[in-house]
This record gives sequence, structure tokens and C-alpha cells, in this order.
Amino acid sequence: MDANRFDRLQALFHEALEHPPEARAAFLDAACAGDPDLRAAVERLLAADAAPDPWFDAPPDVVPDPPDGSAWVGRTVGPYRIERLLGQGGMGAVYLARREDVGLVVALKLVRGDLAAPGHRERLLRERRVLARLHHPHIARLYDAGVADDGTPYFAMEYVDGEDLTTYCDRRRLSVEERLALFEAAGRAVQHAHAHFIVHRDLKPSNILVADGPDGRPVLKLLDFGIARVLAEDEADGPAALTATGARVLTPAYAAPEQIEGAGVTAATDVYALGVVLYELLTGRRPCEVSGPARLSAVLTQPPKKPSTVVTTGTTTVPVAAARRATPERLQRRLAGDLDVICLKALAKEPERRYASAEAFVEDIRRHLAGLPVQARPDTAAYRVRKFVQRHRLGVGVTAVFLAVLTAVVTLYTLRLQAEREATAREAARSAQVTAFLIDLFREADPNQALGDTLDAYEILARGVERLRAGEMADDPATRASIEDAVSQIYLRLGRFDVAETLAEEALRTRQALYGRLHPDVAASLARLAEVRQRRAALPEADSLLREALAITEATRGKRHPDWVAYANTRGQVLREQGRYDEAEAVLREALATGLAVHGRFHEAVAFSYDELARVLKERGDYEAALSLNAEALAIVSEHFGPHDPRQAVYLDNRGSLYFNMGQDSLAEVFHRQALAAYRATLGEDHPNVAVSYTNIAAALQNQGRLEEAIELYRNALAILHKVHRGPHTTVASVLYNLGNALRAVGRTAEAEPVFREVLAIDRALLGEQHVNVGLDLHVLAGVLREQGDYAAALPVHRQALAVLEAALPAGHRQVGHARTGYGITLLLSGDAAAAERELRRGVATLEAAYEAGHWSLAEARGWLGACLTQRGALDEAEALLTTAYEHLREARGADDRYTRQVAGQLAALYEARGQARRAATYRAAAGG
Amino acid sequence: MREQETVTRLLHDLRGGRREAFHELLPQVYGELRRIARGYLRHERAGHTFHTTDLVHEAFLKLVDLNRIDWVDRAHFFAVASRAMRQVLVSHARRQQAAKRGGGAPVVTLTEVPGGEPFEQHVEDLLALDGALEQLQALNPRHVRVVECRFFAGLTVEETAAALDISPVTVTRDWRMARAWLKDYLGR
Repeated sequence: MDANRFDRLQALFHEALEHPPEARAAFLDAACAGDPDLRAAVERLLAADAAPDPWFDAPPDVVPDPPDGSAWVGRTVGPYRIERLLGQGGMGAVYLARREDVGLVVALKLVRGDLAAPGHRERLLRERRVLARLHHPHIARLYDAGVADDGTPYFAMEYVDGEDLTTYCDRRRLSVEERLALFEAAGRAVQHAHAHFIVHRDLKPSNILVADGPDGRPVLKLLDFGIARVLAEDEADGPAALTATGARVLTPAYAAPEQIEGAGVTAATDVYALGVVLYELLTGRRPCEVSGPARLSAVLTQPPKKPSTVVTTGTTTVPVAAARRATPERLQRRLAGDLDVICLKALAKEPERRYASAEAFVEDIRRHLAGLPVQARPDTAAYRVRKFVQRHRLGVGVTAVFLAVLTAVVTLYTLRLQAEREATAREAARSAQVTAFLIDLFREADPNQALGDTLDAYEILARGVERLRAGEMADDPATRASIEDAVSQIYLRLGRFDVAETLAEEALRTRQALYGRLHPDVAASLARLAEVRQRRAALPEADSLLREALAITEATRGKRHPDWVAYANTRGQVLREQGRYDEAEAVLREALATGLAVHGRFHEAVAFSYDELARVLKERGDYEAALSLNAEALAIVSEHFGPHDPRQAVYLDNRGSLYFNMGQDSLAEVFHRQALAAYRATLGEDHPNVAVSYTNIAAALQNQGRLEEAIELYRNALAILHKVHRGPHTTVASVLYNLGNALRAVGRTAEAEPVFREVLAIDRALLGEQHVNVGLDLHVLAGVLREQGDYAAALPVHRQALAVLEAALPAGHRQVGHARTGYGITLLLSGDAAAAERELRRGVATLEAAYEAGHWSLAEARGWLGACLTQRGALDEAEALLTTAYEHLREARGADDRYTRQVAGQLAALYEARGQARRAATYRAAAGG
Repeated sequence: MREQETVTRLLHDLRGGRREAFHELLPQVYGELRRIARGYLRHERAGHTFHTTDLVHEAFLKLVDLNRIDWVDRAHFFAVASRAMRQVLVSHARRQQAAKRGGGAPVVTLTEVPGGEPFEQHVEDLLALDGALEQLQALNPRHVRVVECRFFAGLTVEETAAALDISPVTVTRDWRMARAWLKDYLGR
């Protein structure tokens, strides 16, 4: 073959490759017509090309001969007689040797010939004295160093019968904690050497040996300390010098960037190598996995991946995680956060960005193991709170809410701090102090600071309030007010409205005294107080506070300001809760327009406006429009904060509620389940929002008649809430309320009774004796007692319910009508038909004014009045009432509904009283017996 | 350092178009590579393997003043080192073969690939490959350069392209052709 034919062959080969395999024969037939040899050659090439060949496709490796160590075994080096080969490393081989005169067994290291640089003999002797002074339980002692007869340098070291660190950890399947504890020991040894101005320069797992100690606990020893330095070619003068240049004894995988660049080697170089060791211990991989020449620039420029991100990628994730007694996912979660940050800090390219010393590095590991905040992380309040909560996982009663709330509040202040840096220095200083105060509460709660694990979040907050009351910050009322405001907000979110209110009021008074009326901080305090009042259901007060806050904001900062948007959003919500939907819509539309102008579309406040508008439209029954507004809120949040953000879950929840209201219970269930998944993914299992999601799903199930499933989910929700909330809480009350209703619906009234009694107790404690909800609770409880046949117990409860509701609600309110009707029913069943008639007539009259003519709820009440009149002998009136009620109910709820059947039964009783047996039988059948 | 200065200067010459610099560099790089390979060899732990790329890498660190060269020079260095690596490996394989016949002490072996044949087989393969490359040299020298970079120094397509001043597409095409031709020639 000549070059021309080769070129022809090559051209045909590439051309053929461009044809699909099945078309190649035809191509070659045409291209090689008349030259069968050429054709055969191309075909052979194609066949060779297609066959895999691992040998050919992998660069060859160089392996040493199997070590027999025979060259040195039996020989004497200095005073040592070599007995056998122990192992071999990058710098040389290590033998077990014995010093005959004193019977000392040592590990004797003979250094690679090419590493024995000129002049090493002198340096060796000089360094020997320094290294021999290194006494540390985790550093293998250097006994002696010298030069063999043939010029090979040797080191006689303490003999350690152990495995290298990574092998030891993997073979025993040590957990991340156990690995960190061992690593910490190694780090402390390095720290000790650094304190003696000795840098290792060649730290790697094979230089860190671990053996099982006599008590079964691992004993760790570092080998080869200072040897690399002895061998360094350009040694800086004097043993005390920490830096040296030109040393090229290095193990590429563990070498720091400055070693590769040949720049100064310092303690930071060891920190880097320790970082690589830690990375490998945690992930089973190296921070820089590029091999070959490209590794050079990769070590210098390419930032390592976070440890948590590499344990779920690649083909070895399962065995790597298993060696750490975890699954890849669990390992990932374990590494994410502190350990990521610690590793990356140790592995920073620039020595000055690493830990300043091995001591600082090890200290962070220790802090991490103790659950304390680590130094490598920016000391944000959110982070500190998270650490606190992790540390008190078992002890904290209100962990999850507390975490969410405190993080939110403190983050807010931190953000404000950043914004105010550009405002005045004084404002910035104040925000900083607020943040510091809050953070400080947690610093005090460190277990090392004597308070122990029993301290819970409420106590911490209470201590904060006490400190304020005891006069802390008395000389700085402005800051004091800001702290009160922040703590008030925390209490508010925790559902402790009483304390929140007191603090908000105090902050407001202080600020008014300081600034007069027209000041943004006064507006902020008014808005905070309004929020508290809103949550305590004092809606008109909340509304007027918000109006004032809005007016002040307009006067001081102008309408186009984030504060204005926030207050207007809250006011819109308050108006909606008052049922003032037109006003609510107007306010929210303005908040939305202003929010869009101030923030642009992608802002939480804008999403809030959209969703709140959706709720207003929902109340009006305009579900289609509500759905599209809610979709807008969802889109903003998911695009802005990501698909799993808990804020999206809130809107998913609301979407579920919309479908719930539309009667599309299975769609409601779908969205509530999505919300549940989002909450769980982001907030964990024991968060109150998870409980709320369970409740919502349960409600959708309840509507689908899946009552037993619903009851179970309500119980799940309560289990979480009882863990999370101590003492009375509104959410607990509402879940209990739903549970009670579900139990009642399946006829488990005996179980429902204690549930409703608990609801009543909570509402009384939180809202006061005279609150409308207390009245409603009493009404329901009376109904449950009646259903159990305990009329004597039920009647006084009915009267209490009526008294509370009539005082709390305007005359003619439907709830008063229901309560009175309920009272009438119990009176009727207890045998007092005359009193029952009086109450039922009043009740039905109220409901007739409150409901449209065909409403099933009204029909049910009319049915009872009809039943009462049957007993009283007013049969014509009874018949008129009962027949229309039956028709309305059958239309609204179907013939099988329990209320429909109830009225059918009442009709049957009427016709029996009239002696119309056939009609009576028909209705008796419709009533289902 | 004297050696570093020499190599760095020669790389500059090479870049300036003095092609003879390549042949002046070769012995320098070869010497260093052989020294490193031997050092590893004498003392390394059994079972540990060293990618040839690691050796080339280490030689680079030893021989080049990193502060004074840029990526073009670096690429040229790897072109030289790929050739040197081929020589190192082949020469060690020859000695290995000689040792089996009762010659001097064995020095270097090519590793067995996981699940592959014992390494003696690879010594034979390596020597055969060297012979095949001699043949290919006469047909298309550029293909041989590409094989040296890819196979002996483990360079990536991009690194090979930079080392040889050709496009990555050409590297890919040449490598595929050379690989098929060599396999066919060697009857693999």
C-alpha cells in the first residue's frame, strides 16, 4: 500500500461511515467497482471500526512490578535491619525494620531515588532535630533519619499497624458522623504540627493510618510529617520558615493550586489537602475528577462541585452511600449545607480564602458535630435559627412554626438592613441591632451556654421580652420599639395574639411619642397592630388602623411605595373577611396596580393581590374569574421562587379551595394534595401547613362521602398540630371542628362530643367568652348532645349559644336563625312542642330573610317547623311547609340525602296523623324506613 | 532552574517556527519521563496504576516554568511529550521482553485492562503497535501524531487538536481512521 492508496481508502472509509449501515454495501458496490481489494480493505476497516476494543481505546497505564521488596529485605540500613516490605507510596517504599541494639521496631522509609535531590543529606540532618520534637498522640513519631550507604535517604518512624483512612472508613461502613470524628483527630494533629512550624505538604489518606485501639476505638496516626519538606529542592532558610518554594514532591490528586504553580507552600496548603481528604471521606470522590493534562488547569481554575451534588450522580452512588450507612438521597441531605460549605472553604483556590489554619478548619467540624453554627457560613439569622432548631430537634415544642416564622421575620430585618445601608447610617444601625438582638436570643440558647435542651422557643421569646421589660435598650427607645415590633410579629405568626398585641401597642406608643403621627415607623406599627386585631377577629378596628397606616404612608412616602402596597393588601383582606366585597375588590385592584408599578410582575406582593382578589371573586361566586386570578398568582410564584416554593403551596391550597367551593371535590383534592407535597418537600413532615393540607384534603374527601378517609386525615393533621402547637390554637380548633362534623356525619356522635368540647375550650381561651365562634361552637355542641338523646344537657347549651350569638351578631343574622331553629328542634324532641313552635317560627323567619327561597338549609328548618306543627295539630300549615321543603331538598341534594329523607319521614308522620296511610307509606319508604 | 529554562526556551523556539526545537526537546522530555516512570516503578504499591497521562503531567510540572509559558507552548509540550511517552513505553516493553528471556531486571509493564488479558500480552501488543505505527508513518504521519497524543499521552480530542495545531474535527476523523487501520493491520 502506498500513501495515495491510503488516502483513497481513508476517503472511502469516511464516506461509507456517513451512510447508514444498511446502505453501505450499495455505496461500496458503486464506489469500488472493479477494485475488489479496495472494497475488501474498506469493509475490514468498517468492521474494525465497529468492534469495541478496550485496550486500544484506553490510554495505557504504567504499573510497577509486583513488589517483593527483595532488593532491601535482609539488608541493614544505618542501625536498622530490614525485615519485610510494608507498602509503597509516592515518595518511596516502607519496610518493617528492627533496631537490634534497643529492640525497637520501626517503619523504615526509603526515599525514591529521583527524589533525593542534591544537598538533601545536610538538610536531612538539620530537619531531623525539628521533626523529632514533634510529639502528638496522632502523629507517628520520627525516631531517626539518615542516608544509607548507597545514598538513599531513610526515615525511621513509629510503626503503625493500620489501614489508610478511607479504607478503614469504608470497610467498617462508618457513618458521616464517625468519619468526621476521625477527620477531626487528623486535623488536630496537623494543627499541632503547624504550631511547631511544620507543614506536611503531602497529606493524603495513605498518610493517615487508622488502627483499632485496645478499647476497640479507632486510633489514628499521621505519617511522614515534614518529610516532603526535607526533600524540597529549594529550601527556605531555617527550620522555622513556614513557606518554601520550588518543592515538587506532591501527589497530584491532593496538591493545592499553589503547589502546582510552584508558589509558596504554607499551612494553607495542608488545609487544602485536608479539604480533599474530607471531600473524599464524605463523597467517595475527589473534588477534581479531571485526569490527564487537563487536570492542571482544572485544579487551578475549576471550582469543585458541592459534595452534596456529587453523591447522587454517577454510577457508584449506591455503594458509596451504603459505605456511609445511607442512601444516596439521605447522604445528599446530610452533606447539603454546612458540610458543603466547609469543604468548599477548605478547597478555595486562593490560600487566603481558605480556613486561616487547620485549627479553624477542625473547629468548624467540631461545631458542626455539636450542631452549632459553623464559621464558614455567613452568619445570617436564618442560618442560626435553623441550627438552633436542628440542635433542639427533640426538645423544641414549636420547632417547625417557629423556624418558619423566625426565619421570615429575621430575614425581613436583614433585608431591610441591606436596603437601609443606602439610607441613613442610623437607620441601618438600628436594623442591625434588631437582628443582633434576635440572633442573640439563640446564641444564649446554645447548649454550651448552660441552658440545655429543654429550652423551647416560647421560653426564648419570653426571655427576650423580659430583657426588654427589665430595661434593656431603655436608653434607645427607637431600637427598642423595633425589637418589640419584630418580636410581636413572631408571636403573631405563632398564634399568640395576646402577647403580640401588647408588644405591638407598646411599640406604637413609643414611636408616636418619638415621631408624632406622620412617620413611616408609626404607620408600620399601626399596620402590625391591625394584623393582630385582624387575627383576633376585631375586623373594624383592624380596618381603621390600616386606613390610618395608608394615609400616613401616602403623606410620608407617597403611594407608590412597597409599604403602601403591603398595607393595602392587608386592608383588602380585612375588608373581604368583613364581607365588604366591593370595597375589598377596589382596594385590592389598586394594590395590584400600584404593586405592579412598584415591584413589576414578579413579586410576592403582586401574587398576594392576585390571590386575594381571587378570594373576593370566589365569595361572589365568580369562580371562573377567581380561577384565572389564582392561576396568575401561582405563575408568578412558581416562576419567581421555583416550583417547590412553599409560597406556591399556599396558592395551590387556595386553588383547591376554589374547586372545593365549586363543588369539584376531586379537583379540590388534587390541588390540595399538590399543596401537601410542596409543603412536605420544603417544610418537612411536622409543619402546621402540612396539617392544614391534610385538613383540606380531608374536607374534599368528606364532600365526596369518603368520611372514614377524611377522619383519618383530620387525625393526622391533629397529630402534627399537637406536636407543633402547645396550648390553644385556632388552627387546632378548626381541624377539630371539621373532625367533629365528620364523626357526626357517620353517626359517631359520642366521639364527636369531646371533640367539639375541645373546640369550645380553645375558642373560649383564645377569643373570649362572647366571641361569635364560641356561640357557634355551643350551637354545634348542643346539636351533638341532642343527637345522643341527652336533651336535658343540650337545652342549656342552646340557650347559651343563642345568648352569645345574639350579642355578637347583628339582628337577623342567619347564624342566629340556625341557633334558634336548633333550640326549637331539641325542645320538640324533648316533648315541649309549644315552646318548640315559638322558637322554630322565629328561627325559620330569620332564615327566610337570610336565604333565597329554595335553599336547602331553609328547607330543613321548615321541615322541622312542619314536624312541630304536625304534633301541634296544625296539619294544613304543616303539609304546606313539608311538601315545599321536600321538593327543595330533593332538588338541591337529591332524594337520597339524609336531610331529604328526614323531611320525607316528617311527611310520613303528617300523613299518618291525617290517616292517609298510602301516602304515609310512600314517604316512609322514601325516608328509608 | 536550568532544565526548566531550557525547555521553556525551546518551546518558545518551537512556537516561533523553529521545527528542530521539537527534536531538541524530545530527549529532555524523554529523560524526565523515564526518570519518573522508574521512580514510580521501584517503590510503588502493588496494584496501583499510573495513567501515562499522570507521568506526562508530572514531567510537565518538572520541566516547564509555568509562569513563563502560555497555552500554546503548553500544547506544544504535550505534543513532544506524547512522542516521548511512546518511546518510554516501547523501550520499557522491550526491556520487559528481554527480561523474560533472561535479560536485565524488568522495569515497566503495561497494565492489564480490567477483565483483560495478563499484562505480558500487552507488552507484545505494545511492541506490535509500535511496529504498525512505523508502517503508518510512511502512509500518513499526521495519523501517527494523533495516535501518539490520544493513545500514549491520553490527551483529549481538544488537547490533541491544540498540540498538533489541527482542528478537533480532523483529530476525530484521523483517530477513527488510524484506529481502524491499526486494528485491521494488527488483526485485532
